[in-house]
Amino acid sequence: MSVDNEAMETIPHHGEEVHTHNHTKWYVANILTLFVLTAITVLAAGVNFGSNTVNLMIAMAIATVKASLVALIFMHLLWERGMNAIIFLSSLFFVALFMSFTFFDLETRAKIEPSTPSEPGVSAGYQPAPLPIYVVPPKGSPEPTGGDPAKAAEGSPAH
Amino acid sequence: MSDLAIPVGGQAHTHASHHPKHLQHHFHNSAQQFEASKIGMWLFLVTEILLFSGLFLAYFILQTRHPQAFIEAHHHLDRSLGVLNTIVLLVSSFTMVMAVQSSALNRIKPALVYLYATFILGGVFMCVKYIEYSHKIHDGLLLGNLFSYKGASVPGEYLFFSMYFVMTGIHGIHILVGMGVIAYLIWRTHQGMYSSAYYTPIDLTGLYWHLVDMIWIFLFPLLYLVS
Repeated sequence: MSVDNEAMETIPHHGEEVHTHNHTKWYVANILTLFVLTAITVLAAGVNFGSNTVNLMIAMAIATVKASLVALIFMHLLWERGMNAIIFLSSLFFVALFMSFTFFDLETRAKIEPSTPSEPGVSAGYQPAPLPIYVVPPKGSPEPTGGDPAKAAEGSPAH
Repeated sequence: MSDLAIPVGGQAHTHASHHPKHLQHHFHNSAQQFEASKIGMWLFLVTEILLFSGLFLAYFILQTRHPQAFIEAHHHLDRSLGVLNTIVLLVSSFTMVMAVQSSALNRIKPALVYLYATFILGGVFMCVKYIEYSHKIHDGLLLGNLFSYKGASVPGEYLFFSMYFVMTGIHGIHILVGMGVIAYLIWRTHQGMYSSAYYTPIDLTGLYWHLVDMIWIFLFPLLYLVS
């Protein structure tokens, strides 16, 4: 029994104490902040910051702030010992690795394979084949009714 | 042999008499069991993040290669419904965290109210999704080669709707699963299974629910606010 008690003392009771704290004020402040950030996201989408990519990055930056607030306050990472945060952040590291290396590949393909040259004014090195308006024409309309017929023909499955 | 058997039997006895019912024999105390369960849940959430990261990457690749198609296609989404669903999910995250805190403070009745509120808000989210989906199905704005919308003006709009349906579909399944688990929690709370001594299932469901909310925080600008 003494061994059991000793073992119990080595396990910190810190976690349990923290969870009995009342964090209602934090939660209310957090939800209000998230509402404000949602409004900012919607307003920022209406502003042209220069390019599609810049706008996308701004939207993702605001979303990251919102997600961080959810993780820190609603998911209690702010008040916990580090292990859960380390697990969470390690997954984000691997996501970053996954995405960045995929884009390294896509953005450098044109340099390695000159047979797929990038068009001037297009940042992406890899250019996919032109796309049809839709893959399968809707029933009852043999000809596409919308869009440029030349473009649609160019990107037809025969391509 | 008998020397060994006596202490083992004695320890088993103390477990039965001093340890709470929920505490499994391989944990020292409730706090350790709670922390271990949480680490397990976070590891599961990591797999969820990696699942969605593949979809996000697919979105980014298609969006950067066909920006016009994505801009044109996203006009078919109702931005106000997207904002409504964002607010519904954020509020549901708030009610969920309040359910966790209420049970941690042994306030079981408020915890039940918050669990019901979270369940209902999840239902509201799915109803709004149903309205959006049925509108798109009616117009033929569907994924892949099911896309049959006649007014499409830019090639490749179906790519946007492929991503839209796969991403919101998998997210919606997560909401439904979460609602199912919350319904189970409501049932068990009615039975008096949870208290400040043991509320681990509520806490873990909270973590899951917040992650699903977090994913929507990224989905909303990507799908509704392309510019």
